[in-house]
Amino acid sequence: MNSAGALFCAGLTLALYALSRAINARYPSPITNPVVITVPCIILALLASDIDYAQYRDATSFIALLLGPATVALAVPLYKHRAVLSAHAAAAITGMVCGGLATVLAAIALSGLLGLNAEIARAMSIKSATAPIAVQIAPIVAADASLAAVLAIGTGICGAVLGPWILNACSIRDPFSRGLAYGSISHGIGTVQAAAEGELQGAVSAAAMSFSAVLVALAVPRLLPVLA
Amino acid sequence: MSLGRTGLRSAAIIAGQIVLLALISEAARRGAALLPFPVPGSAIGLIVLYLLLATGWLPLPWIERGAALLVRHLGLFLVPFGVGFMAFGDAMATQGIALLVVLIACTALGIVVTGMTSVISRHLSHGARPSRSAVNE
Repeated sequence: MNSAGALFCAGLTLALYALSRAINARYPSPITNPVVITVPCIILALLASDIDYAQYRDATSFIALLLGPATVALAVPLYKHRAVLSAHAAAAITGMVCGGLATVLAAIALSGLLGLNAEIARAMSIKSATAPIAVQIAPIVAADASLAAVLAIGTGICGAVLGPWILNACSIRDPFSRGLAYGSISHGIGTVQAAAEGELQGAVSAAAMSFSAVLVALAVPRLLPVLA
Repeated sequence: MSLGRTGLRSAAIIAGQIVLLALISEAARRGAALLPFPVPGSAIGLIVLYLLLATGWLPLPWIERGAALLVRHLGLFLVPFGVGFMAFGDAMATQGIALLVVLIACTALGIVVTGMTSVISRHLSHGARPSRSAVNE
């Protein structure tokens, strides 16, 4: 691919991202999340042109380069909201460990039951880590990073959309526990929903997202060989 | 929109903070490779930065603005990964529905179990009804 093609890939990505942020600001919703709008548009553009994914990935590697520092920066919301999490440390740890285990075990069992191939099942097992961490756990568990990213983002949308309804149906009204559920299972997109419910929910969710992502990163690569 | 002197200074500070975060990220990535078990470098970097902040070795203002900018645009940095999903078009045609079912079921289960066990744990430790009292904590 020539440099014009590379410039096209990078420019398209930045322009679509800026546009989709504006759309999300105008119509705030989990399904107008900037990644949800940008990724399919780029896929369509690549399919319509003669640029393949490897070329696109090379042209935008400078964007992906910032993922590492950005992931490290997730320590900041955890640090800022550490008091709210440690105020109920027992409940926080219990909730995150039990919920995290439940979703990982269910992912493996259901994937087997419904005949998903092994690669998809492995990517599914790390989807409860926030996408930036999930893409980096992926190579460790021999899963595809792109698939892991999409499943993690899908989990975020699913949790943000269904979460309020599920929590209400189960009569989980405690704001701390609601924030914990949003953050630890449906991470960034869930945290937006949690913050919309209240300040406490948003703070717990933001802290739980980083904390439980670290739990998944440490535990799942150990757990998978035992289970699979 | 002109970039005045204060704007330029502000941009330089944020850029410097991002460089600092990148250095921590890179050091953690190399450190993680030395561990006896595989673990993502960024998870180690997250833990390291948390510890630096919690011990006061790194004051929050030194990285706060750069970190906020990076976290706000995390979605952008994920786009190049997300686009790779185009390779799974054929897999989705045959397994897409099953995948969606698993995704929704696991997410719902995770939310219920996290919320329930947290509520139960708070009942046990407080003996009170946290659902009402916690609102204004």
